[in-house]
Amino acid sequence: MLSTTVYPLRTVVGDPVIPRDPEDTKYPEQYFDVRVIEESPICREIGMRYDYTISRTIHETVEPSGAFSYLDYLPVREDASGNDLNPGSGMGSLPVPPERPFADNAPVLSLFALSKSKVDQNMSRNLHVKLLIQWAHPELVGGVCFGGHPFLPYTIDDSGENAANFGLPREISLSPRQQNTADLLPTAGFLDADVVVTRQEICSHSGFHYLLTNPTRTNRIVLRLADFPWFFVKAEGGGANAVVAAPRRGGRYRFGYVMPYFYIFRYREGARYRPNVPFGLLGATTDKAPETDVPSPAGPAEPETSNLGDAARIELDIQAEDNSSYYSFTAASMVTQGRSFHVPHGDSSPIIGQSHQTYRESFISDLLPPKRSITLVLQQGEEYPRCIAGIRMLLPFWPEVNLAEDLEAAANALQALLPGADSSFVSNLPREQVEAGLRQAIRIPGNVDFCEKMRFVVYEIDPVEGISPLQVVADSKYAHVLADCNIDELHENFPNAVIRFRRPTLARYLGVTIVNTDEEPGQVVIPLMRFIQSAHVSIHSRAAVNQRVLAFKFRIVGPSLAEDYAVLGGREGFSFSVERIAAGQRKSQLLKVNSLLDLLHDGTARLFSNTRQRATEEQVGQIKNLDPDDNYEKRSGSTSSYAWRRSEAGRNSDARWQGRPEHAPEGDFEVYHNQETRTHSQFVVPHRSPPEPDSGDSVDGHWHSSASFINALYRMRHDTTASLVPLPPAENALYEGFREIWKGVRDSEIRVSGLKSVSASPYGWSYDEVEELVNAIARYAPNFDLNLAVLLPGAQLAQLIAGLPEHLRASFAIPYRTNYCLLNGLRIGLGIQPFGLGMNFSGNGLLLPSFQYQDTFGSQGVIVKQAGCTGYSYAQYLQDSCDESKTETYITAGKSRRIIRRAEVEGTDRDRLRGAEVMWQDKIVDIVTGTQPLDLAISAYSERRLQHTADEYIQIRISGGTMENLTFDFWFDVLEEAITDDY
Amino acid sequence: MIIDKASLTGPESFFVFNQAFNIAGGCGRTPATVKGREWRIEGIRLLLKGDNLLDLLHRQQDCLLEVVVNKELLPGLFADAFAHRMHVVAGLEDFQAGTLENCRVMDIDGIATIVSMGTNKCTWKSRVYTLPETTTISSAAWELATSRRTPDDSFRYSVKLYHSATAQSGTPLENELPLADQLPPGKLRRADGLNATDVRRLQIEFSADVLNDSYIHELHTRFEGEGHSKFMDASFGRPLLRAVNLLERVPSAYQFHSLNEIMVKCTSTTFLPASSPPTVFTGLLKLPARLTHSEVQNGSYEYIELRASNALSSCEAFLVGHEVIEAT
Repeated sequence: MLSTTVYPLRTVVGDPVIPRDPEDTKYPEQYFDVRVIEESPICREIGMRYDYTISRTIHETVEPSGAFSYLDYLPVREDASGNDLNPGSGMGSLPVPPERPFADNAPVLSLFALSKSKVDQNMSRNLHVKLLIQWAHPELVGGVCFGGHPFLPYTIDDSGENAANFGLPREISLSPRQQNTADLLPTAGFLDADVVVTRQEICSHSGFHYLLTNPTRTNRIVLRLADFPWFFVKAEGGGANAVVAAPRRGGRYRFGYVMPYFYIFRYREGARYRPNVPFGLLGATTDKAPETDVPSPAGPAEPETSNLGDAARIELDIQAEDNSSYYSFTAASMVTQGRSFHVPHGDSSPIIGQSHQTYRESFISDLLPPKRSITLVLQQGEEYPRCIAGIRMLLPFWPEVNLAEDLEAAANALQALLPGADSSFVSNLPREQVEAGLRQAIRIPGNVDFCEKMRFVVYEIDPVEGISPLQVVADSKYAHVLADCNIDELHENFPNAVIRFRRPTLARYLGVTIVNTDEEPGQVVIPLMRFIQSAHVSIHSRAAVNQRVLAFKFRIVGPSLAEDYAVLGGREGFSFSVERIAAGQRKSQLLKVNSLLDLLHDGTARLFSNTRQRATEEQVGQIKNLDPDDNYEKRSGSTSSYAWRRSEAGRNSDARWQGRPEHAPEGDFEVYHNQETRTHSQFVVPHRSPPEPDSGDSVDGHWHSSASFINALYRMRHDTTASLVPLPPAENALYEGFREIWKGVRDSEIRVSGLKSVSASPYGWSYDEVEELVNAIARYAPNFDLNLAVLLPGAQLAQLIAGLPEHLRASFAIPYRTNYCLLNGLRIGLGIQPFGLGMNFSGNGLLLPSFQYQDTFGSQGVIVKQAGCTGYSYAQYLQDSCDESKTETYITAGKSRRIIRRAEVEGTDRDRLRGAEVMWQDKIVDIVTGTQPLDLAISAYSERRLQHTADEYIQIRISGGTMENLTFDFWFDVLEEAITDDY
Repeated sequence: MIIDKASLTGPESFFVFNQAFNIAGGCGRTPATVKGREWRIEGIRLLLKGDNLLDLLHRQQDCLLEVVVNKELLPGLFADAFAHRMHVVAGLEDFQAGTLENCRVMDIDGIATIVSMGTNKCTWKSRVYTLPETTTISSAAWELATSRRTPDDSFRYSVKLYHSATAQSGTPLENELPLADQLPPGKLRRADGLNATDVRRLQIEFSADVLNDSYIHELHTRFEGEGHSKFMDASFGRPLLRAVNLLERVPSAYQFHSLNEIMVKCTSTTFLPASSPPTVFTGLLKLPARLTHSEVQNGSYEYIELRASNALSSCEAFLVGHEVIEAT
């Protein structure tokens, strides 16, 4: 009995240990270091050459850049006339597979080996090489993923070995090696610390392979590749039709391997739940029994010859019209991406001007006679087998009899491709034209004759120990038919043919037998074949193994699992049930789970959840001041700030409201204000400046003279010694006391000089002359006898002038001016106003100028009422003050006694704050995990059994909607016992 | 699927000797089961007659009644399940106690298995086992991990039994008995009619030439030492030997020398007449057995044979049980 675990959904493949350098600064060689550390003597003997390349992306593997080309592994083909044909254009490429396990930009390691010598002996089991692969930083390695070359020609011998094995060694051992560094030393020193995982297969499939190891932190692995496949030097056919031909020189085989894809990945548990399941081809065979030649132990087994020389060859090979090259349409292309061939042709080019025809590789069988069949054996291509529910494939053909349903299906398909197109012509097209259109659409050779009636038999294969799945036929007791259907009508299969299995299967191997049920020979064309995973999980009876299902286990991981116990899976929600199904009927329902509570109430599950609390609550606190000392708080703090401030407002401002929308201002910027201003104004008398010699400019002198004169009159009249007019102060009244505030403005710049007003006739005196006269009068006026007058009569001007100094008198010597003065009745006088003092002289005529000098003293009051509106305002200023916002508050003591009441806020109950106690792969999630004991026996259906049906299985029926954030994994603990029928 | 179950009844359920239901002085045997039919036996209803059955309650010199249950004990090896003792050489301890050359012991599908390594001939030779007393080995069968459907050119193997009548250790085993000689995998893995008598010490040697490798997918730790290949230095070959079974003939539990022994194994026993010396005995001999069809039955098959002494004037017996059929 083998205790094992069946993981229909589990995946342990994480990211590659070397992600793409985001800066793209490293050369590819810096990602890995690959060294050959050992090779077998036979490898040296036959001149085995090794190479590896590191591609930055998987797209660079289409054509390798190293020492080897994919063409090195393809044989020269010999046609019926004995001509040698080389692989044609496009045969040496390897398109990127559509189902690839890692990101396109992950660096890819490619491994190559090929013997220099061509040999005739089977040396395969004597060949091995050890590679040491190192990278920079230790990672938690979960295993390696690798893929071979799906388009290599092969033969299948009686042991079920695929000769080329799609380029893969049959035995691969992997050992993550411990690093001799200090951080990994705890594992060093143990004798049995190193673990080796070995996978040896009779035949390998054409897809991706996984070799899993226990999670090990390391930065180097030792890879041992052994039992190399062999490649034909020369063949009489391509693909599965290959028959080894003897080259003119040397042996018939080269040994080596070609692994275009090799990844080392991190261990990361997860679950996969998506429809497409990658498969790889193990081999294609025909129904005719091989004419076996018992192979010599000394050499590779002779290939089957039955698929040649007979009409039922497997794959189509074409050759260029110039007999220079050949092209193979392999069966492996239907489960991966086919190559593009550029086939040169002669004058029969369908497109004038082109020298070649481009074909897309699809699986095209050779002409299949009626009632003959082709069998494709395929294997699942993930790390664990998945439950497969059926096959979807592109199966182009056009039935001979155009049923109305067929035509409608074709018209609908055309409408889907070209909406609005007139699809009525479909019913009028000749069949030959439709088929030609199909061939052109999928880009296959124009002479392909579609097989219109086919029978598809799909069966699962469970070989016993030592038997290759390629040796198990559909009617064997180690095969179980899953589907048997005829495809001959278009409407059921256009554009995609779907084969639904009678029940899902967990089988690792599937066989697909295609029988030509037509009366005419035809070619099976399958550009695309995809295997579809079941939406449910099940474990079934196997052909060669008795099983006892001990327990069903589950794990559900999601961010909101524990939010509502009434549902399972949180907001997304799903349900599942465990059912035992026998003979197509549900015999019992072992478990039904519709809610989280269903899982928890019977103790089969454990919930690991993060704590939660309501995000929104109404909280009411009531201070309870029973004692004055009940509640108090003492704080101390300081605030300072240092900041630029800027404000802008106005209709043209670009400012946008950044606050909550409901607080946004309505309308544009507007400022209204009104004010009443009351002021008291004190007028400053002109300042007396020190007389400047010969300046003649003495306004303050005017003031001084005028003030002295008026004060003299005032004292004389009122018999007093007081002064009516203040004399100019010695200090500048605007400056004193404001010295520091004026900040750079000098005293002399802000002296009060009084106001001068001059009006003059253009025929009269000039301003300079008038000013000089006034200055003279002001300077000498105090010398006049105050008794003479308050005002000088104009007639006495001459006397005044006569009394003037000589240089002033000269100015009056001009007769006409004097006359003018007289004519105009020149008056010179001083005046006093309620709050001012002035001196003026004037004439009544038009010719004399008018000069007025006035200053104001005293005070006055003003009341101003005003209103204003500001349309735009902008200010930018540095506030250099104590405005640095730094607040430190120290609660030196405090005490609070409160009564708190919490209440829900309607509509916010599902808004919750979550703790972060449970994490899974760096995410905060809830986890439900559990075990449901089953202890059910499922007997092998190939074993002698009576009263036990083999049509029995356990199914986990999953129902739910979208589950993007939810990961669920179901698996089974199983005891397996291989049957002993054939031992 | 058609499955049916019915009680065994009618003449077919009776043991017949010379076309008569009375098998006294002879034997009756059940017919070979065909594919799709299985007999699930619960017991044998006996009707024994004698002049004075009280005399037969004492042990007789000759066997009074014997039941032979011939079953396929091991694949291809048919023998009386109640008359044989089986010596099994298998398991990690047995295998590792021997000497290994170009092979190693691995856990394949949960079973300790000798796996060939490299390309040279692999050989395992067990340690010498000493039995408590001399015995007779009547047949042998061995289990290989590889199916018999494996192509014959995949490997060839030989099995030898060395034995000696002496118990003294260290002395050579003078007798060599080949059980299999360069057999391909498709041949039955058994050796009948060995009749190796006076076996006190024994040793088994297994050797194989492997030409094609098989499936192996194992996680294993590093082994270095005598008999084991070095770490990752040799290629794996093929899982081979899992067990060697040696059958020793022993007295059957269903060999009765007295009526008293029969009564112990029977239920619902009745003597008639009750007042005078009984001349008729009826009872149900408990015998759980299942007779099924074997794909390798050829000459031998699963049956129940009833042998009756002529000390009985009459012996009629029929099977009590069910017949299960399944359409194939």
